[in-house]
Amino acid sequence: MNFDESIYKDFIDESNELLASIEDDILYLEKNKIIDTDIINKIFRAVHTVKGSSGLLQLSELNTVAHTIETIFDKIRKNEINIAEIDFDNILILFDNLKSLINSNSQTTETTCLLNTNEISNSEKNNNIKNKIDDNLNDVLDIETEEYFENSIRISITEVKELLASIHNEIPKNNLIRIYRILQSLFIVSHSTNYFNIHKTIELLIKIFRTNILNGNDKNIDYLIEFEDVFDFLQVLVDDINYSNNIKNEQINNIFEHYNISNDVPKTNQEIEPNISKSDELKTETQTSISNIEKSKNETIRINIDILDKLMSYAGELVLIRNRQLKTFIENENYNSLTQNLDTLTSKIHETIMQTRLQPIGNVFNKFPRIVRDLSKKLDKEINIEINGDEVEIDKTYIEILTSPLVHLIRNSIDHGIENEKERIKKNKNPIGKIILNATYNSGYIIISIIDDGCGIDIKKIAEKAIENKLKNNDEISKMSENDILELIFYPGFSTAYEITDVSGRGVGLDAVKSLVESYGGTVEVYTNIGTGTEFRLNLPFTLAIMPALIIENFNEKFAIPQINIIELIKIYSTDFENKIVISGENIFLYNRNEIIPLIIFDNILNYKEITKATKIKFSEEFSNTNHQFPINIIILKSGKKVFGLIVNQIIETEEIVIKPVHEFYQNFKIYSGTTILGDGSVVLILDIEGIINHDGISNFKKNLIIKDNTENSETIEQFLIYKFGVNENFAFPVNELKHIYEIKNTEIEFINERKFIKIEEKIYQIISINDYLNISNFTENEIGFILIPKNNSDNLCFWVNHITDIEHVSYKLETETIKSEYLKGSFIFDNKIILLPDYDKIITKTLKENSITTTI
Amino acid sequence: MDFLNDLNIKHFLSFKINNFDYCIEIVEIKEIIEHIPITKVYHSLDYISGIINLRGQIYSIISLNSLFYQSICNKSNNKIIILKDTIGNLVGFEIEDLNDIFSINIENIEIYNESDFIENNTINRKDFITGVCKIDSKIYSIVNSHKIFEITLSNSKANNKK
Repeated sequence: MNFDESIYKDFIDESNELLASIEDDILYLEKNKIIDTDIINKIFRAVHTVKGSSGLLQLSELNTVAHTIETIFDKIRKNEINIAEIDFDNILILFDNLKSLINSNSQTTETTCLLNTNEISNSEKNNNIKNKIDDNLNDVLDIETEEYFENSIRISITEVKELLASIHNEIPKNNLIRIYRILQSLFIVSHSTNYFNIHKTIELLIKIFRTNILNGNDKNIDYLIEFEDVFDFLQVLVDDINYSNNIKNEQINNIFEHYNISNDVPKTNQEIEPNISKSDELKTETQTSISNIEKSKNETIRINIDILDKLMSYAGELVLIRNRQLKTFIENENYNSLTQNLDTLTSKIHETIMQTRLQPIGNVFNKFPRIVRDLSKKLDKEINIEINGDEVEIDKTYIEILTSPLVHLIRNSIDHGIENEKERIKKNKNPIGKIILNATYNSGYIIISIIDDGCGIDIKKIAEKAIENKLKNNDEISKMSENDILELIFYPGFSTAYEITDVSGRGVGLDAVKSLVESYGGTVEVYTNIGTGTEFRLNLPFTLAIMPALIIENFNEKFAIPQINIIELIKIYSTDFENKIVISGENIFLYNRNEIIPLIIFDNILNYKEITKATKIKFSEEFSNTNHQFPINIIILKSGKKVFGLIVNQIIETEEIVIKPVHEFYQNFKIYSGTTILGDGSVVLILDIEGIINHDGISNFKKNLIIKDNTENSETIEQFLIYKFGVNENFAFPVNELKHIYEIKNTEIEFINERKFIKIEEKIYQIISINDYLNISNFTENEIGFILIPKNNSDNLCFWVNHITDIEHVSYKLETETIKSEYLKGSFIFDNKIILLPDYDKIITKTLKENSITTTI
Repeated sequence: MDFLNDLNIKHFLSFKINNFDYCIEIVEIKEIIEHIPITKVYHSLDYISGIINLRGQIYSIISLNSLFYQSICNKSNNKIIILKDTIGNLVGFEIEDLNDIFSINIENIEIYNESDFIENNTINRKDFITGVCKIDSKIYSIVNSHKIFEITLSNSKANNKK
């Protein structure tokens, strides 16, 4: 199948699907006359998608209609139109037109398009809303169409020219068909513009083409030359586009007469289609390709999927019953072999059914090179796309739904992310932009990432825009972390683009992407670096119906937590409690491997319907005062990039669960995402992690911190360099603060103004002898010494050492009481010796201070 | 049996809530089950007992004791009346004590008029009653399951939005 056709087909299917439910929604709005933001956003999103895709496919009629509807709903959304005053008839007519335009494109019939164009303009003229929204809208639209047409006709002409050139050599049939298609689309587009002559000429070209070339005249070449003549004329018209309407009609009529063609616009489908009666190889090909579209359209009838879905859900039920059976018979030895057989068989059936639904993600990915090409051409940017992992197999449902979010994201990357060539060169980047599309598996999840090397997302800009749009006020923004601000881009209607184009900019895209991915139990993450690029990552569960979950218990009720959200499980024993749990104000934190993780007590989530700051302070007081039952179970969870710990009473087991929707009574509950039935037959609720975060209202997520104070009473492990300065004492230098060790001859040291210097690799370092600061035995006069250069050392200071004993990981407890000095952090025991740990930072500061007094020699 | 097809005779299941007699028309009932653990749904309406698994289907259970009298149902011998799906969703009523099934001529059923409901603002026991059956010296209030479902649904929606 031709590439073009498959995109068209997808577009038609997708658009029909999107618009299918909209009529009901509009009727709902009409009936209730209330602004239901959800519904308006939904309509807006659907129309926006249609608009974006039609822009991409250069269906300008469709684009215009979609744009009009979108503008109307944008006004409604912003409350600029009173909903009571809207004439819903007109809106419905607009939607009807949109639908018939979409479907007419599938049949390559111009006539329907023409009819619809009239209808649209009529309905627009009569449209009450239109006057209210914007008097200039129509003008703007006209200009847009014409500009658009001018661009597209130029591109098309170049393409036809190239194709013609290749035809001279061997006449590949596909090229002829391609030319025919280009002309047809130009014919449609040109109809709505004022370039009447161009329209006529194209019509003429189509006629020549149809009557002579497609019908298989043996003198193909002669007609081609004739065709080229007229084509040249078209080019003249286009080159002179502003004046084309002034070219005398006679001239055109002459040409028309020359080719014996009447001036009538063909009105019916048949006239435009190649004459079927004269069959011939070439013509059959056109026909087959057309019937191919229709045929493949039939293939997507959902009946097969329904059966697969049923099989899938039966298999899910079977797994559940298997689980119950296993539980019941596990103690009874007689049943063991029987249940085992049932067990394996069930797993096999489930696996096989899963496989029938799998398709390589390449089916989605292979559309993107073309999309990127078209779009980058349109925006005058040069962009390469790299596709990895197109062999990764995913569920059929994903194949159907993934295209539109990925198109959204890639469109964003091209339009807002990647800079134009000039800017890229200025920024010292490769002038050709790059987009990487990746798919991988990761522990039961499919991770799809879209990475661009564009300008990144400016968090400050988002903050400004959020304030400007009144989503947040200054105060709120200042309290938000960078991540939280970044996540605002997923807010409905949020956009930082200053212009609304037919590609993107309304700010509906990301919101749609997120809600779609989340509706399948997945998550969307965004990573960005200003200047270097942005990555969007979609995490989708591998199987739609069955997923692994951790079962926990609180207050004798069980709950399931999806495995996708779990990072790790931690048990805190009474000995760790003091060191690992930090309570500050209303917050409780876990100190885990140099990370500070906020904690939520699950009991409180269940007990309190509303959690305020006051209740939180109460929680943390309670938490610090109660006698805990050790160990405390903490589940480290993540939702997107938010990481926190959930304190639960009991962790039971992991189990494969089948997700069932939540009962209607609890549907708006944020903390539950579904229900499931466990192996023992009991019903449990599946927790929604994002919902729990919102319920608790925590905002300060995981931070990387090193708390030195906390190590005072406990043993810590650190790598030290153990050395001697004089004969007696042993000293330690932390290895992670060490940059270099050099071996020197002590005679190389030079004295200047009582300060010691050494030259190492063409650089002068000032030497610090620690005996200047500590009362210790003097330096032993050896031939060889060592120089330790600390990290972050811009002042070229170094420490002089006599003998290096060891480099060792030391588990130590710092003793600060026995041996005291201003420049000593403390001492510890290692290998039965007392090791002194000087306070190097203090020594360096002191040296610098002294230097500033005696800088001059 | 002839009287089953007699349109003038209706059949009711009677039960006690807080020692008052109630009944529900049998055509609305799918089945009755006993002694089944109910999973509590935190933050739901007070009178919703929770959810149960009945042969792979998940039902929400409304406690009539707590809906009518704000009292807690005795869990040790509770019974659940599972309603037919026609009510709108999978719903059951939790009650303490089942009595009997009786048949009654429609002459002895008194249906309340709309005008009888004056107190509309608060949830009133009367709102959930369609009428009364008079049999011998006893009076049974007829539970209006549709109304209970509707009100629970709208209350739930209001409750969840908070």
